[in-house]
Amino acid sequence: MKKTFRGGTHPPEFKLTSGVATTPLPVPELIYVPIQQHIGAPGVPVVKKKDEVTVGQPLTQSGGFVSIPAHAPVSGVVKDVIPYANPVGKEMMTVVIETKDDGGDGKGEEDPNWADATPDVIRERVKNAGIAGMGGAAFPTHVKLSPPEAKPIDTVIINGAECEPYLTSDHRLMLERAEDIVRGAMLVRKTVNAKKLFMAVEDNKPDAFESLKKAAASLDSSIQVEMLPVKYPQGAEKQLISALTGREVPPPPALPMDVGCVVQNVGSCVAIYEAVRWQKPLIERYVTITGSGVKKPTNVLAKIGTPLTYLIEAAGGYTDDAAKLIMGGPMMGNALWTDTVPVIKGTSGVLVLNKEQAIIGEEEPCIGCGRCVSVCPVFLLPTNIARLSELERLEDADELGVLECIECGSCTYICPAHRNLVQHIRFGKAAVMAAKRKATTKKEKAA
Amino acid sequence: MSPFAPDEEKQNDAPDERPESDAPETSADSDDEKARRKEERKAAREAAKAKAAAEAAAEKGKEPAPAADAGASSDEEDEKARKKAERKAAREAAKAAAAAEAAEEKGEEPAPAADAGASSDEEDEKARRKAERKAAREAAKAAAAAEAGGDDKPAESDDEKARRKAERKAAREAAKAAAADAGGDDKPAETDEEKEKRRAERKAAREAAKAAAAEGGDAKPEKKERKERPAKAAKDDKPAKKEKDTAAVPSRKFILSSSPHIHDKESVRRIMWTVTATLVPATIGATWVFGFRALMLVALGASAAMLTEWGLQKLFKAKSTVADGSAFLTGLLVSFNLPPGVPWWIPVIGAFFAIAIAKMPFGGLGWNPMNPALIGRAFLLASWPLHMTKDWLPAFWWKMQGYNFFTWNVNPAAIKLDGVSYATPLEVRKSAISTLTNPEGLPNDVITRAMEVLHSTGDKILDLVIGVTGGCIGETSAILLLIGGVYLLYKGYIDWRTPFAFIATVGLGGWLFGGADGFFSGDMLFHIFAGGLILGAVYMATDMVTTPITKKGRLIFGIGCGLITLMIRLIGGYPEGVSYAILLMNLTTPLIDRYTKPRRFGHIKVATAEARG
Ligand code: SF4
Ligand code: SF4
Repeated sequence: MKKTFRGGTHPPEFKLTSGVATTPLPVPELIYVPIQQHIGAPGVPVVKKKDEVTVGQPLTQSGGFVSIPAHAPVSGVVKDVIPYANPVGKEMMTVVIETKDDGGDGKGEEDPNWADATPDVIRERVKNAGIAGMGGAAFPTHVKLSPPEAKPIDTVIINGAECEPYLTSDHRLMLERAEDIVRGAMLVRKTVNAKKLFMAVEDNKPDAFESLKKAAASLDSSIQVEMLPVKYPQGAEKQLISALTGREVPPPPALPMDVGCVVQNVGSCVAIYEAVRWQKPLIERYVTITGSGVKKPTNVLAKIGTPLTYLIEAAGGYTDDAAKLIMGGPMMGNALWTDTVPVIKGTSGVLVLNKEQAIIGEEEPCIGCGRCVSVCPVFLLPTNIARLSELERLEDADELGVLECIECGSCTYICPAHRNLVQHIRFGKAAVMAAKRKATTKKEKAA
Repeated sequence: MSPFAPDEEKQNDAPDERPESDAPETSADSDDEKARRKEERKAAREAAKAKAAAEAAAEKGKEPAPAADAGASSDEEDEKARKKAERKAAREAAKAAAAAEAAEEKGEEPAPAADAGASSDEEDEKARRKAERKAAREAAKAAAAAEAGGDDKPAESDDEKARRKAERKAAREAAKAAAADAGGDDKPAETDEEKEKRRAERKAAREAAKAAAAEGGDAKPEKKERKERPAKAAKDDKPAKKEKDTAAVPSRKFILSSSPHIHDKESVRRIMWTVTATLVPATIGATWVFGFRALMLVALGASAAMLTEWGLQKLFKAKSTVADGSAFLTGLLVSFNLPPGVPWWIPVIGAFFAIAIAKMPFGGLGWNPMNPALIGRAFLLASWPLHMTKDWLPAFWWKMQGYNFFTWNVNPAAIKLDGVSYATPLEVRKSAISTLTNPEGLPNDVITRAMEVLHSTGDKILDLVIGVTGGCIGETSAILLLIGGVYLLYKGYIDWRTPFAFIATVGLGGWLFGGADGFFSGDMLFHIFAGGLILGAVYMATDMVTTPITKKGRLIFGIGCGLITLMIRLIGGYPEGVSYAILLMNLTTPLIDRYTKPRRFGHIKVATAEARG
């Protein structure tokens, strides 16, 4: 039996672009680099209006340990530093660069001894390169590579599951850059001093599996490349760990490192490899542009900061009935109100749905079918939690584990009553956290 | 995008929320504050009601940009515009805080919201709000209306006071005028206010979605955003409209909603009609065995149920849900649980009762605590016990002398087999056993008969399985019901646990305790196939609404049903106990769910500790 996790669901795959080779996207005239594209503290801009910048030059300096810099994806002149529409919701300070020339790929001088770099050097270079998790969460990678001594790591897992329907950027990467992925993975393993190195691919991508396997065999035979049955959300960090090792990461704030694991996305591996070997900053990434709302779904290599309009153009433009623009996959992506937002480090795909697909049924009362319960990959009772959240019975919701929801969307996807379970749960989560924070502040004040 | 985002994003999410979500409770202490909040809550409620109207009015002026400016203009605009702008910003902030709308990191509603808040001003906005909150608190303490505001944030104090006062007044007026504006007036420092607002917004979103669906797909939640912003902006914010238009002009309008953006094909309607469809074979079987009459009774029950639901919803001006099929199914099941010889009005009244008393008053499908069809049956049994316990017809009665397939008028008491009125196999058996356990004083031939009954049922099992036997209309043919059940299992509409546990419990228990010669003398197969067990276990103990949602819970539910059924069959006064067993267990559903929560992911140690302690 193939390894997998408990719960989960099987949305249709819609991998329209698995067979489309990735093409580099032409550099836009204006490029928009938000100062924060990761989880943690925002960077501090170090350039100002009219500054000349060359490709790869840092535009911000990191604002703390859990923070990373952003770099100039092109050479040009800083047009302005303004608040600008951002895919994660709020407007954000954004460095706008007027492109002079694309200035190459931003690679610095090669370090001939890159393979022997020490963990500290690796971490330093990864941090300086501004690498954040490229699977979507965008957690600064160097933080993941710096587990405290009390938490020894024995297993590194490279996440090539790409369980979100539609998206194929990781798939293409595994086909086109397999060796670089493996090299990056080996650097990760070395940095965290782990023994085991897993690479996980879902079995709807047998070619990617073969490609990784071949690359792994040629570089290090101890790497285990695993094929997992297709199931959503297999690519969720904790679910992937459970599928491969049988270990369950305790509820938040525990992290994978608490069970001795580090998970890295395949894209991050390539970035890590390039950062260590050439000190190349993260200024470009693979992006899938797909869905029923674009004419010619495709995969591109886009500079960070490229407005989505350019990507849409690369995919042949909108169809007439394009109705919903989503950054990310259909299960967890954000619906966007404008296509002027830029590609950021966590942008794995841009999905455009047509009118017909964009309409989701009307919310009806829960009929208690229990389907949401059986698909929840963290074994919650989504219907109850959602209802308690709706009623703002926060304590009860907390008791049922509202904070442990990973917002994978499986429950909403499967609910025959079309309940917006995740939406209610998100509300509950935010409210519970706010309440908790308040309680702590009060306590602190009292003390 | 891989879904490990949320946990981590949450951390990010948290600090962002602070100003908004923190605010409410801080100010919750003072009486003044409370009073004001009460007032404002009222205002908000009114506002919510009036919202629809206001939205409609504002429909024209929609366009995200103008509204967006509102937040940005605070410094230069005159008092009124500023007030509006800030109110606007406050509302948007509240919205951003409401994860129900979509947590920030998800970026759906907040995107436009943030835009509306025109982030250049965001920091100012926060600082100002903090000041306001503080001011409010002080003011309450000093119990001197406005004086207190002065000291905490010198830069803004006087302005502040005046503005707040004005705002509050505006809120009251707006409430009276039932203008949607009132909702936004008070600062974000208002818990209840915000709640109301959010609720109202959520409602609005839902309504918008409905409207969108009706229109064949214009934007849904987004629509709400749009409507709402202009509701203020367009009406009284003219001056604030100007500036901005900088970079972001989307090339087209997009629908905004919370993820996920795709959905399984399953729907309530589909499930209900599929379940109904799987009962078609059993209906045909019943018609063959009990004649055309049975089909008519089923049709009467189903249509009465639909009519009742439709009529009630018409009466209360609610949206009709007849099409979801659950009423039809309920009516069908009411009829299935009737003896085939009952008069026509029995299923009609039963179905009416099921819908009008056991379902709709609770809120319709999804909210009823007990299986409506079974409540309907229980009501009939209590009200017309003779009809419900004596109107049995033997299989193929219509082939007897003087009747035909389409015979409607039949007097069950007149149909005699071997000189006695027909009784169901369970009844016959029950009386036989009681005869044998207590034979004193009974004539010999009665005892012999009882012996015969008990020992001859073995060959009759096949009849029970196929359904050529007496009993309720829909319960007799085990095989046809099981075929339907298997299909439902395959579709995942029912969980095997409930029927399995139910049937196994009754079977084993019947074998163990059901005989006349002590333990293990009972007839297991007889107990399984006679009476309404299969119908109950497959179709009624699996009713989604009234049974547990957890897997373990469903096992327990099934076992409970089985035990109660056994008790009624073997000890109680009725020959059959399936319906009451299910009804009683329905009542325990919330309790079962509560105690069978699955172990949550990663709670390994906790789980074992709980098991021990
Ligand atoms: S409750 Fe949360 S974790 Fe569970 S299925 Fe729903 S979104 Fe996923
Ligand atoms: S899937 Fe939907 S209808 Fe079924 S129990 Fe969950 S919330 Fe209720």
